[in-house]
Amino acid sequence: MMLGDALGLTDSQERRIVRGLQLVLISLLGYGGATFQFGITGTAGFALGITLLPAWLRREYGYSMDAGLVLWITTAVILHTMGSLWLYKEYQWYDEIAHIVSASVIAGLGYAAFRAFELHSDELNVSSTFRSVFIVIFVLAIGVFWEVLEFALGGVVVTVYGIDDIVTDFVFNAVGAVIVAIWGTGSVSELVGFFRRRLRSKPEN
Amino acid sequence: MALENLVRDERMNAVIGWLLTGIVVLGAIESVLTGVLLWGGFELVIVATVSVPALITGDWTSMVSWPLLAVATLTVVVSVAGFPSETVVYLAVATLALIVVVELETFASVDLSRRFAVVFAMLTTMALQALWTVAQFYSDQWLGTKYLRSQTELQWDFVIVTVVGLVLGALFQWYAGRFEPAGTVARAANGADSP
Repeated sequence: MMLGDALGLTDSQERRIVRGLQLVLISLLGYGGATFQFGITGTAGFALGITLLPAWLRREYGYSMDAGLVLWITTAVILHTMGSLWLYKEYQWYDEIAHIVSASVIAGLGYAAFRAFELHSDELNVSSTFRSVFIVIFVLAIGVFWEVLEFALGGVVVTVYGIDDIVTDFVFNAVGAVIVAIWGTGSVSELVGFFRRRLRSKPEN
Repeated sequence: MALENLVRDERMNAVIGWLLTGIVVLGAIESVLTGVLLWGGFELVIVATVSVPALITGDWTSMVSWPLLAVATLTVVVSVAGFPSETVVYLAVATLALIVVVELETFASVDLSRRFAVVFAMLTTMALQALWTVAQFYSDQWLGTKYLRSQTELQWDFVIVTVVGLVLGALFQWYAGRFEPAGTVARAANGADSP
């Protein structure tokens, strides 16, 4: 059911790997600062911020995210950090892997939010086929929204590498989404529960 | 079923709907014959999407409401004049998204409140734009067309399709509210009723 089971990792091993990856990001942050390469500092800092979100959720809402899910998110973040700093320019396939992984994270989050909303409210009542379709549509739409964002930022924070790069990103985002739609929805079942509790605790509902 | 009343099981709606579909078919044939394969393919996707409910239910009157189809037909008619200008494509993509959502809601076992249906239609619009971009790219590669000329132009496409999706979503929200019986409006405000 959970992601780590597939890889044969225990929760504590997964947590250790996450700590290790965060250390890599911290060293990058330090390296960027020491050598006045603030592009590296910014990218690594942003990435580190995302990897700290699960810890923030635990502190703020008392929700411990499944260790496998935390590892999944951290992996996606580190892949993109390494990519945007060095590897995208070197290897085309690297970009594709990074996009499959990060699209699967977006797909998982989108699905969890959608499913929680469906269970919580009577506004939605859909079939499992529709949920799968929703995952793919959600990821594709976020891809377009991301391009709008990159365009708005004017290539300051993130670099756009051209039309073929945009198209390959879309294609591999879709691959990641399809993987989650077919196999991955069980991995976020705990997250669904958390979102549901959040929705329920809102006074207007 | 907040949107159900947009797809009325009426003969009149179906007659007008199929006439409009016929125009789209003619547009598709014209596009294919004049060598605009990608746009022709897109028009055929519209035709297929519109025909699916009738094919599945076996009832020729299963048809989305004709005003929605009229917008799609309009984009086809305008484009017959020549190469589909970008604005036409945005409108066509957004309309197709709405048709898909309305059909899912009406003919499949999908129950969405109007609020969520509008959001979903916007997401679908953007997703279709992504697919359209991929299709254009490979058309450029394999069929020698020149759809995607520059990165900036493509990025503007994304911005505009997002805006068009928002505007059409707002229009649709207004349209669905305007032509809904009073009871359904009150119900939609509190979320659709459970089955």
